[in-house]
Amino acid sequence: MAVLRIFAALGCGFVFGLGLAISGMMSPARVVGFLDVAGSWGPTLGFAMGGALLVAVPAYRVILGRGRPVLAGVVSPFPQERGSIRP
Amino acid sequence: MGDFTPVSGFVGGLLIGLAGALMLLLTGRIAGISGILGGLVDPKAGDTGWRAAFAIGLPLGALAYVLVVGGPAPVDVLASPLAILAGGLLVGFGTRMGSGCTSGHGLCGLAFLSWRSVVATAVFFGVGMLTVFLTGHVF
Repeated sequence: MAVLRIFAALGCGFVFGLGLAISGMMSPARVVGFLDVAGSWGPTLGFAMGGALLVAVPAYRVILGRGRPVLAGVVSPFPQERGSIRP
Repeated sequence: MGDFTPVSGFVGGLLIGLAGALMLLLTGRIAGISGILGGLVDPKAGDTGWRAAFAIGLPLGALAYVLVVGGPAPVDVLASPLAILAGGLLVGFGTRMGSGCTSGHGLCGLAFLSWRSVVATAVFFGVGMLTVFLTGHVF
């Protein structure tokens, strides 16, 4: 299972990198373009963020609702759960 | 208006969201890149393989895009090497202090509907806009 988890992480990294490249957001100049609201503002990063959240928000709801991950015993605690601040 | 490619931006975003969702579904981990890399800098036994695999997969995915599309990689760097080094140090420090970066808070944290991530995302985009304004239009 540990090996499968490593391949899963490799694949997820690959899809993430592919998405970053397709969206154009591996170019620092385009990220800066989104932040340059007083200059020639480029809204593309907003569309990338919107697309990502459109998938991730409902997916997270379903996945966290089903309990345990496919290739691991438990969902690892989210960073904020280590501290004193909880939602 | 500057850079505007909404369709490729949106399609790439869908893939980024899919990657974050698959990561949670399969491994139970959030796809926060600063946190994944941070765990490699401060390694714990039995907790490095998946981190290294994700860190290798990420540039491979970008490389695959460049190979399929052809031509030079669409990466334009505006800053000097010294500024990139200084920026990198600040990003590393800030993402550890704030427990996440654009992917950890902006994608996974928002998808988790975490208020702390909403605050972090608003702050880093806000401060980023302010920094670009000050460095690009004032100084």
